[in-house]
Amino acid sequence: MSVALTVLVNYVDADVNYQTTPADYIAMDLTNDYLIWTEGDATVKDLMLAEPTSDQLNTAATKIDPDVTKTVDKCLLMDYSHDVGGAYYTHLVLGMSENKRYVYGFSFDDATASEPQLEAWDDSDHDSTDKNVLGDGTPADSFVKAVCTTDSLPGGSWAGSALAGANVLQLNNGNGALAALASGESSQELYANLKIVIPAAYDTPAAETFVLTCRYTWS
Amino acid sequence: MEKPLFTIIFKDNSHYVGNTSYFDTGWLGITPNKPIKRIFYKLPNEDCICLDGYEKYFRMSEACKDLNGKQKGKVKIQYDYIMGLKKDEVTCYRITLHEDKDARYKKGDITIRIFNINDKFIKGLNGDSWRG
Repeated sequence: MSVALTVLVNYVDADVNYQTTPADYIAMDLTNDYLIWTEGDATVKDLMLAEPTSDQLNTAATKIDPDVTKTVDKCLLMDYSHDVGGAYYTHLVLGMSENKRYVYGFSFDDATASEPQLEAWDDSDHDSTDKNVLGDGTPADSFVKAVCTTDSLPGGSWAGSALAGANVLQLNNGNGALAALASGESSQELYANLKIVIPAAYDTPAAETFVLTCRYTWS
Repeated sequence: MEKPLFTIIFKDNSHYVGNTSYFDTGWLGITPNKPIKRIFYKLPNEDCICLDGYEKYFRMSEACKDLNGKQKGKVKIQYDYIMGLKKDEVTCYRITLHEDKDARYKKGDITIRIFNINDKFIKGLNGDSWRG
């Protein structure tokens, strides 16, 4: 039987896991919801009452720093169906880029046949990483940094690994497939933290989208 | 009528027929440790390959799910794998099921790789899914 994947984001307390405190997580409706990486401002922020426009997102974009690397300050969940709070379109993803363990969760309702992994691509064809944010064709230069936090905290000032193309993140910390669910459990979760780090004086300002993909298997 | 994904002939000449859906293959319904003589495994064009003479067999479907982009949320089954273990080697047949635009591998392409049993990829497989 296939295994179902639910992608979770923590919007309350990134020190608690989904099994103990599921109410701290929002399950992404992947058909409608999406992540917004932004510096944020008075308009583009936590708890917006409308979906941000392209102009608003451009105004709130992260600026390239001429002297130091710049980590994108915020990741917002654009929650199209207002799963929490009734009227809010956006929720701040708690712990993104910080020394926090339970930020992005990948929940499986059964065993997997091999280790699930997270990938980043230009688009849904999954065959190129030519965008600036993904290293402009050199995956090792990707601005997207990822760290598996399934087993432990990532550590202060964690560097992470560059995520793009064949540079993937093993979500079970290299420990292989997920075993059958324990008695009484209905799901098991793997965790990661992410951040986007823009090199100092990067010479190509851009507003880009990229595709995060979770690859998984079943028997 | 749609063909089953696989048909297994055990060494006692009994049979097990898999399901037709990649989402519910029936693989884990095979009695564990029951010796397998051969497996007929369906290809996307409805032909079959036959694996014979291995000690153990393993199958899996590989899917990806995008968090954003034009196919966000859709479960895309990209590859199917059937593997056979003999001595310390695992012969892995990867069958392409989904063909993206400009993809290197076309639907029905089979990539064969032989792994040592101690290879990280093999060791990372779910031990409960081996049959035979």
